[in-house]
Amino acid sequence: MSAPSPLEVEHLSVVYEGRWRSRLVAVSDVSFTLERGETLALVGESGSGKSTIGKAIVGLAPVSQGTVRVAGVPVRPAARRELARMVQLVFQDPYSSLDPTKTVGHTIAQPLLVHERLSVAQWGPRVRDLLVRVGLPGDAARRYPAEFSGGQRQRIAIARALIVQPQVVVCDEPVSALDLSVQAQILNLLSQLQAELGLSYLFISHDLTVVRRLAHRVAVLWAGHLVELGPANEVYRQPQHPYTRALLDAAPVADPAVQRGRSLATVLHRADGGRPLA
Amino acid sequence: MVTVIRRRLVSSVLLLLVVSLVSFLLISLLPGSPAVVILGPNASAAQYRALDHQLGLDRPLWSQYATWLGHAVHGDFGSSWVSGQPIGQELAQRLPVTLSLVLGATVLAAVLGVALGVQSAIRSRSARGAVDVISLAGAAIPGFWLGLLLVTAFAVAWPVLPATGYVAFAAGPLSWLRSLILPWVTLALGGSALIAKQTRDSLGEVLGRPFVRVYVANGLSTRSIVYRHALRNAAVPILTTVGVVFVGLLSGSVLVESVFALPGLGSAAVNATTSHDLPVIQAVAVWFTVLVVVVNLLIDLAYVRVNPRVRIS
Amino acid sequence: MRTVPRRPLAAAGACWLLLVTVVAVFAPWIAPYGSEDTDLGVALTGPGRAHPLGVDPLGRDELSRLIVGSRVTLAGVGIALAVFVVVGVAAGLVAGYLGGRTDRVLTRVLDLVLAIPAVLVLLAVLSLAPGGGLVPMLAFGVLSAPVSARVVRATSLQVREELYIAAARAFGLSAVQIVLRHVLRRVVNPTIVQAAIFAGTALIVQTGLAFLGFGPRPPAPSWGGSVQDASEVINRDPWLLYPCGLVIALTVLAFGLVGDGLRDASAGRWATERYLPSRSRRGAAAEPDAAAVLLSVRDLTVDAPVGPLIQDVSFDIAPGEALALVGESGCGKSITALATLGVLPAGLRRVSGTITVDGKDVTDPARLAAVRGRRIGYVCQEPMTALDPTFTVHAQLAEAVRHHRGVGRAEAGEIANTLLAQVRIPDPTAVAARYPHQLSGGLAQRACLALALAGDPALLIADEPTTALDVRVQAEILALLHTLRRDRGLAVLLITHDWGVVADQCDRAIVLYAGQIVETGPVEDLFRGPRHPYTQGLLAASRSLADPDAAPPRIGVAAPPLVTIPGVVPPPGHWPTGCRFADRCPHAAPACRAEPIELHRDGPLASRCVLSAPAPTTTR
Repeated sequence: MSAPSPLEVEHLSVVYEGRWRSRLVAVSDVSFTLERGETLALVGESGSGKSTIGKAIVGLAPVSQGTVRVAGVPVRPAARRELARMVQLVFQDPYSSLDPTKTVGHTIAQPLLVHERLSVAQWGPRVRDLLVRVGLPGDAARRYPAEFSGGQRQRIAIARALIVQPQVVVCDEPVSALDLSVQAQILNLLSQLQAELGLSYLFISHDLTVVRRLAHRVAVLWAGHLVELGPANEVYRQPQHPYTRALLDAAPVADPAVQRGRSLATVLHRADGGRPLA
Repeated sequence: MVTVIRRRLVSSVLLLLVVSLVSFLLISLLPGSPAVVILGPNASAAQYRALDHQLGLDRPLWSQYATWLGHAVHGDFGSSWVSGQPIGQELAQRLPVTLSLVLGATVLAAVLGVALGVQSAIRSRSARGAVDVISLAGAAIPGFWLGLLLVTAFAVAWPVLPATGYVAFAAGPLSWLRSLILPWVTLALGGSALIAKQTRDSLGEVLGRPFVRVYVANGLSTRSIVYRHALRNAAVPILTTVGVVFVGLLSGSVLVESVFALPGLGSAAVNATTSHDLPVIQAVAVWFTVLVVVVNLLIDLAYVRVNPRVRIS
Repeated sequence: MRTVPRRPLAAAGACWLLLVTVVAVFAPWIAPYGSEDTDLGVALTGPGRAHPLGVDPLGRDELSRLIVGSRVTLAGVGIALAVFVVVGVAAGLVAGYLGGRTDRVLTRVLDLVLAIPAVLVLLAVLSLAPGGGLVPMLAFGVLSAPVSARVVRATSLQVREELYIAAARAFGLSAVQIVLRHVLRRVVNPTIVQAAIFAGTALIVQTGLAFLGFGPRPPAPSWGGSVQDASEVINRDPWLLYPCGLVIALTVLAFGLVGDGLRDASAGRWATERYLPSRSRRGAAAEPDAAAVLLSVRDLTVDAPVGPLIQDVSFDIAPGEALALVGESGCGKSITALATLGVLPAGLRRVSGTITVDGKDVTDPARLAAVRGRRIGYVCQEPMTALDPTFTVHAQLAEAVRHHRGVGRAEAGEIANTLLAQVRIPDPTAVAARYPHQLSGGLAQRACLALALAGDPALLIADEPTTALDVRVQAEILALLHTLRRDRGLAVLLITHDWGVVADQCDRAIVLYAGQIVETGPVEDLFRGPRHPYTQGLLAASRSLADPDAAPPRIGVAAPPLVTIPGVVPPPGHWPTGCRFADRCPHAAPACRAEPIELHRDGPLASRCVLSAPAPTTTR
């Protein structure tokens, strides 16, 4: 039998039980798998449950129904330490995701300290190698997060995720807080690291454009349900679900000649009695 | 909104029970026995036993507590160990004194504190410094000492106000007012400093919120932004502080009543402490707790008025 | 702590506390007389050479009594403080970090304890254990611990939400490890501040109890006891009141100053911005300027303590025109908008520039204030926090309408409803009755637009109005802006970093880089042939990201890299003399760095680049 796939999600539901018997179904019966070296984009608007899926995979959200397996190991609280070696996380907000009171080196080495009880001398070189690999100077290890820009902080967060040599990295909107030109830098880095290390990415995004050059397959979520899943090429060119089409149509195109026509059509359509969405 | 009040009422009853229980348990911890305290060390064993029986101290603790609680609910706190007088009546006469003192001082502290705090938050740096100095000084000067200073100034050196004593409102509103001015000022100063500080901090924080920028940028008047919108948004922590100040002033009244010889609940408690008259302290503690509970309930209602989120959820 | 010397008051407070502590430790060796030695012959003689602080009614040296009395006083404070910190931090961490039911129960208990009248418990304790001792202060520490517990709880609740805590949990750290590594450290500062404040309170309580006669047994000295002794002879010798009272007040003050200093030092980095406009007098008369320009901004420069944020920014907006302000974060887009409106955050200053609206000079703050809302409306990026959460949408709109249009209450209400309908809110009356937190992002942004339109302005300044919204809602808001412009002839100054939004909305665009305009011109020309390498880079990055013809990525093969601009925007205060983009520019030449580059017009576009400039020989 071949090696288990890096990530298998089967019939995953996440339900939050509130006080006073309220229930919130954040994710409902979602299934997908992730191949080695593949990027699967998980796209949806706020409240679609995309981030919750990411959290459930790293054990930060409850798996109410279904199973999540990382390299064949089912995700459950007792196995969190074991799982942490195989799946890691990069967050959206590069400011809140780094402890301002710890040096960059300490932050990056933290997963190692949990798992291997290494001394500074032992982890120092590994941290330096990784910093260079993500495009930062090796001496950055001694500095504090506050000295770095948003893009650089996101590189630090990526280095922290990679130090345990995971198979799967869940990227939760890793570039949406960044400027356009910096977004491209980080996307290039992720793509390059994937090719070098054979990583699998679950790339969570609210923006179909951002994942266009990275995603091999695209999954579209709406209100906790998976409405479309297919090869990126097909989803972009021939979206099957009307919701996917709406998402693609809504993003303005950076070309006045094209966009004016599209936007005029929207205005006319609305004037025809189209109901606003929000 | 109803649930807020209901929840608050439940915890209030709980609080009263806890306070009464704690103060009651303290009696059983008294080294020696109350009888020894009351009769002195030289009475006979039979006399001690008789008194224990008379005070009900020979019964099990829970039964003593149940009896005491049953009476207390009806305002009967038993009799003083020292004078033998019923405590309930004695304290009922003293309650108006403490209420006049503490409520008046709280209102004074709130008005003064909010006014100072608002000025500090919206004025220039130098004005802010002046307010800071006033509030620091207000917080630093101990009330009992300030009271003595005021007495030396306004009753001894320049005798315009009475140094001590209390005149009932019914006996003459003006005399009542004159008898309370110095105690009010004494008690309110520290509290107003605390409220001023809180007002400055929370108003300052609210004035930095995006909606204030939007309001200013859309041309609404500064007066409306500060007094109608920002102050309302800052109101919850300020109200909380007023509640805390009320509790603090209640404690402070114990000292201030001693300084100005006001016959209130606090001075009763101090006298009782000196003469080991625990039932009196116990009863004052319960009265104080009732006052705290009532004021907290009023403040909760005020929260609901200023914060729509509480009202709706 | 290294920030304390920059705060002279806090430093003075710390010195006083140090002095008092040293005196208390070495009291028996320092005191000039025995604290209980009486000499009735000199009783109440007032300050003099032999007795610098005077003599008390029993003929004891006041200075010696205060020196020795400091021991019992400070010991009481110390005990209360230790209990306050230990119990408070422990309870606060448990409640705050564990959260959930533990938190609810613990919070209840803490609230309960706080409502117990502390002084009466102390009196009860004293009536059982007379003679002072440290037990009452210990009890006071316990009864006050909820104060520090609340602060610690609030801080840890907040830290718990930080993403790095989530990251640590994902790494497999246990709760105890997380609290020790990440949470405890954040709790230290607020706890120290609380402790300093509490120490002052404890001192007042300790001396107050001693004043009431519940301090150490009579001949033994204490600060509160000295006040009591002085109060008995207040008619004969008021002097004695001052030394003991002042020493108490100064020590409490010192605790307060140290606490304030520490709080400011730890809060300094996040000092709140305040947006209230500064007061100022009316300025000079306006010069008439007969041009068909709605808003004209000339040479606007804004300074911050670190250096200028924008320099010599000039632009015009004609009635009904839509102008985009584009650039990366940190280039000065929002500052330009806020400076135009005259609502810069505290600490920033407009140092030069004129603002003209309808041909009238409104640079003067009072004139600018009259224009805000009536000629220029403003919408910001975060619709959820842009409205007052304590009023309904309708109340806020009606207030703005009344203020700007001077109409009565009823009419203002009508107009408010009309405005809500104009921003295409479905079921406007139902939405009007809601509070801001009950609105979705899209509805909130529509309500903000209605507020901005309350004074019927001719120009709308919109700062990233769709950035925080979902893509379909963004399309709705953009469509609404089109409608408003068509129906009301509204001009728009649109701040954005999204070229798609620029293409959708705007007639002309200004590209800002490091506080300067680097390129400006009609949107069509800008998209077709940008002159400045920065504009070229931004457009190329945007196109390469959204390129529909790019080859789809294949597994195991690195995708062809996206076009990027290397490096980052230099922060204010670190701007180069020459071209500010030179360090990131692929075409940079020595001439670029020699001197500041002027904005050159070249056809429909104007750009700040030597490449697009006329040959150097032809310049002045």
